[in-house]
Amino acid sequence: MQTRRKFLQDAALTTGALIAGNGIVNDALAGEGTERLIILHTNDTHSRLEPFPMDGGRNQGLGGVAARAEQIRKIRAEGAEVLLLDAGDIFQGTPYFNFYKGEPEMRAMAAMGYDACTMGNHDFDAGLENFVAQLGKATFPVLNCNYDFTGTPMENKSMPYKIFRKGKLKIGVTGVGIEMRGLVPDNLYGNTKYLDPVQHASATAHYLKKEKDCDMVICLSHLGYKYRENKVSDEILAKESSHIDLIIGGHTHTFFDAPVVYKNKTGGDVTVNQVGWAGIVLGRLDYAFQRNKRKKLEASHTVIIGKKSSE
Amino acid sequence: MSSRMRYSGKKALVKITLPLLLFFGLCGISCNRNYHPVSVQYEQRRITPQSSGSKDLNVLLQPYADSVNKSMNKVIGEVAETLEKKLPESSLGNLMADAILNEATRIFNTKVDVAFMNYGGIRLNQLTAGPLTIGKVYELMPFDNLLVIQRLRGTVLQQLLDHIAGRGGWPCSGITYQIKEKKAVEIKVGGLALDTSATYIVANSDFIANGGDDCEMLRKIPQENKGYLIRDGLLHYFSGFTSKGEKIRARTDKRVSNAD
Repeated sequence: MQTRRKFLQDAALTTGALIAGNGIVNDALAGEGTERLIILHTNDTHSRLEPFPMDGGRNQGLGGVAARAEQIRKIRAEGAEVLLLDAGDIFQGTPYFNFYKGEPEMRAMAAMGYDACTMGNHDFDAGLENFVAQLGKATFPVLNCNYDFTGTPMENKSMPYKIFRKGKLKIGVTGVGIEMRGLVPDNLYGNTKYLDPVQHASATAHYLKKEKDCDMVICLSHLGYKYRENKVSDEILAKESSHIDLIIGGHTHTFFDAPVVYKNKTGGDVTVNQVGWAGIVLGRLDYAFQRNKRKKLEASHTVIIGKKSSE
Repeated sequence: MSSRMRYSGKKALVKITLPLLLFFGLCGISCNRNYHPVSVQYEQRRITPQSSGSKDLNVLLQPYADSVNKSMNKVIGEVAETLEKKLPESSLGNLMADAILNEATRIFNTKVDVAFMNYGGIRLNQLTAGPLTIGKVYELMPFDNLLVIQRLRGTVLQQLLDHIAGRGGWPCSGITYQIKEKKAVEIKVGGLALDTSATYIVANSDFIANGGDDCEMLRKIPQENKGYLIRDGLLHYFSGFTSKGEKIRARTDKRVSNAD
């Protein structure tokens, strides 16, 4: 078992990312002392509270908070620890937002038991004061480490990170947002200052791993997956950061067929996933954890990825 | 704190042997106490209509839905054939750009040379054939952006077009251009070659005119604004088809193309 795992790690290190078959992943999962965590995630749900209408469109019937909530309930009923996260742009896209400015969106997410979200550019759309008012209906924090909200209505209303205890695990979650200038109307973000997301996410992740003893760091990102031009993105964040294990992305509305794995600055694996928009897809990542055996693993460990077999 | 809890759970560690002590000593303090992720199984789970919905969520949503649907389900027209959003040119984009040009001409009561619809501002990927509701127009254009006009020098219009070309080309009306190496070429306004020394009246949303989508070249240029929403313009323009007894139609006609 040990030899085989060593082989897999070496193989993964040479190929960058290893997509393994179900059998191999299940073997790795079966080891004793294994802790499990299910991470569920959405992004860019854009006020899509109802499913797409049955109008012959390509998304007809898909999405909707009632169907999503039911799927989440069933997954929770499996009994494993669950973290439910959102990568921003909760607001804007259907008349619900024009009428109610985000109230039913926040209430629905609270009812589904979301653990945290980050802030997308469209979450500024009805102004920061409104965002704060709607946060009053949420039961979960907004996580962001690269917006300085000093002197705005959002001051002290967001958190740079939160640590979740799930079974024996300590999971640190942070968030990063996209640069507002040229994207969000000036008057809507006001005095909010945009800070370098790679630098701030890395520093936060380092703190969560080294000072707070987190077993895993997740970054909720509204930077966007990747761009043709040289603009900071999840791909760049993954490659240039350290200590982040998983980036849950948004903004570019990209439907990933499978999570993508990058090597970070210290040679460790960073997994990136994004599930399009409008709540059409719920991302599910079933993680298995093991205790660190060697110090070397901590800096540059490899994560084996496989597709979950359908039930 | 958690590490101490874990150690105390393992009484065996109290009877630690010399080699183990040495091992820990070499490893350092951070060794062998944390967990790390070793594997992940993924599922991109589609939220399908077959799944029975949560009763709680339906109850929560009902009062909002009743109120929203009462006004939003009103049909204002009939879309003849499904219209798509695509780059560099599409039927849906052309329909919206034509709407902006026509509405700007009407609202500002002046000849408007060019209208743009920023690609990212089109919030539905398609407008399906069949009845068009007010709610669908809200989904197509959810933003409360205002319709504005600006007087642009030909040189600034060229800069704007180069910026747009670099982003794959945006829907436009009153103008045609080609994209070559991320620049706009073969530009014709009202059928005539772009004159860099002329002044053109250009309609946009206030979002773009204020420098949105990185349109820095427009930021400082004065705007005219009648407090009229782009969405209200779309609703008026689409209703115009219906009052004439027509279905809503649009097509591509080589306004924007890739030169290569």
